Amino acid sequence: MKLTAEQVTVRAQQRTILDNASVTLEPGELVGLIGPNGAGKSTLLRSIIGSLPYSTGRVDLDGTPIMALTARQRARALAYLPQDRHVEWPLPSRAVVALGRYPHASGVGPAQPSDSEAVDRAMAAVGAAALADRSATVLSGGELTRVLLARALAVEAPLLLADEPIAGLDPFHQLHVMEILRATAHGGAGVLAVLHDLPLAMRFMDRVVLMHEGAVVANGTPGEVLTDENLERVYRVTARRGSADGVAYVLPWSRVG
Amino acid sequence: MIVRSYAGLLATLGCLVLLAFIASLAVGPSGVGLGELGNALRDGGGTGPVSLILWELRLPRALLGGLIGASLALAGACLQGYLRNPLAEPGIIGISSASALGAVIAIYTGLALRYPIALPLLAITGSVIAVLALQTLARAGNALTLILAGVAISSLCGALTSLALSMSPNPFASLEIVFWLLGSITDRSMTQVWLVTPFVIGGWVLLAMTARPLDALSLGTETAASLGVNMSRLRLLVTLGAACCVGAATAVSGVIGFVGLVVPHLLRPLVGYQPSRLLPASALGGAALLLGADVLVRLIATQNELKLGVVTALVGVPFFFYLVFRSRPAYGT
Repeated sequence: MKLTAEQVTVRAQQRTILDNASVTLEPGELVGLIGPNGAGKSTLLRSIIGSLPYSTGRVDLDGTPIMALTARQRARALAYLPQDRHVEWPLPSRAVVALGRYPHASGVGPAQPSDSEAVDRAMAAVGAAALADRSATVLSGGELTRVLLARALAVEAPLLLADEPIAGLDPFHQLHVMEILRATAHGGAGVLAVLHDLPLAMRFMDRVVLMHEGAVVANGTPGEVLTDENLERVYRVTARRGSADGVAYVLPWSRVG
Repeated sequence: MIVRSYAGLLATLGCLVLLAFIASLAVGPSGVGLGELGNALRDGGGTGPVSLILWELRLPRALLGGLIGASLALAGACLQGYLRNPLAEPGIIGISSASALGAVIAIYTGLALRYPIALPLLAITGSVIAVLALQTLARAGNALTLILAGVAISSLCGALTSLALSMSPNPFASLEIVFWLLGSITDRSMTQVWLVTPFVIGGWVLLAMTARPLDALSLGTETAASLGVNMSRLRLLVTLGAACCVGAATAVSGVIGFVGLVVPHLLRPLVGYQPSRLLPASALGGAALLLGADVLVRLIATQNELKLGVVTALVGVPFFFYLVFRSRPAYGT
């Protein structure tokens, strides 16, 4: 299943938040959506999942306009992990993850075995099987992120959109979540993740899409996009570079101007 | 009481409802025995005194106790899930007073006398307006704006009710309305039962349809929408369902508060905090609680029988204080 967002424009209060932004996502690839604060990354994700109306442009799934699908079809095709990591009630973690099966369940009646297997798989994928009975409201930031990521994985959608999945996590959990995203992509899903961490984007992403002031300004491999010129123009920083284990890394070093 | 499974919890609550219902039929000032009542129930519409007591006094009272208790607790559980706020209760957030205002208008204008159906209809209209106003005024998950909006709605409806009362040409009618507002299910008839049952059942059906979407909503509106929850449909179901339940209940019983606060709160840990499972459990718990409280007001010997709404408020307000106290941000979190 291929996702195509073409020339999406969003205006709010006479301001253009998204300016002809285009992005594609295919199964098996891990794509980073990067850019400074306010560049329109979250807005683009919200337009794609249909929670934000856009004035012009189109979002297609395999050539079908996404708004022509039913809410349930859309939910089965696109899993979405929002930035908001609030769980309202002290639900057991497993019940939180099981909500990912919402678009699959028919309604009343006990959960299908296939549903509970999908929940088990998702919890195992994020290493949260041991958290199953813990209440989601007492988990640490890293644990909660993994449980909510498992919730998104439990949808078993061909495409996953994650809004800043590693924000606020310590390095250990950042690496852990990045590895989970990579494993998800290798498992055949297309993953689009909003990211602020340039070194991790450089290391883990198959492709990065760079946004600036509502527009997509670069799209390609991390090496092609995270050039000194782009970093200086878009992020207003200079960077130090190096390589370790044969992999190039980039480190934002100082502000420009 | 140890309740191991959800089915066990529902069965236990169901038994409690049954017991409270039988107690409600059996307890009263006339001291009629259970055996006699049983005979009268089998005979159907006899004309003997026992039959009259059962069919004209006790049965409508018990039926209304169950229906109203279930409706109030169910509406409370549903509103709490939808507004993601454990303090959302029809009485506290002004829905009950808005329905009461609707009912008072129906009585005051004489509409209720000419068309009995106008009473529940206007009460439901009042609660629809209140729920819509609350959804506009209060931000989801924010207790403060919700309570403030509720205070504003309650005050406005209270003022308008007082206005209607003070302008009433007949002081006896006003007095009657004042007593009715206090909340009670004494001296109601089967006619009233038939009048509100369709609305109550309709409200239950609408609220039952919100169960799974409310589960998804525990993760916030964005996640819920991405899981395929139709948010505007959910909003409509909650609004109409809660309004039917609370409006119809208030139309016959006056304002009975805090059932929708206490019952879901007590049951929430027992259902693993899942909003969907809380709905049926709350309905049963609410029925049992209100029937039990109504038996209690008959047992407590006072010159005038205690008003049910007064009793639920006296018990419920300290409970509300406790919840507000607990919802303050604690140190270290």
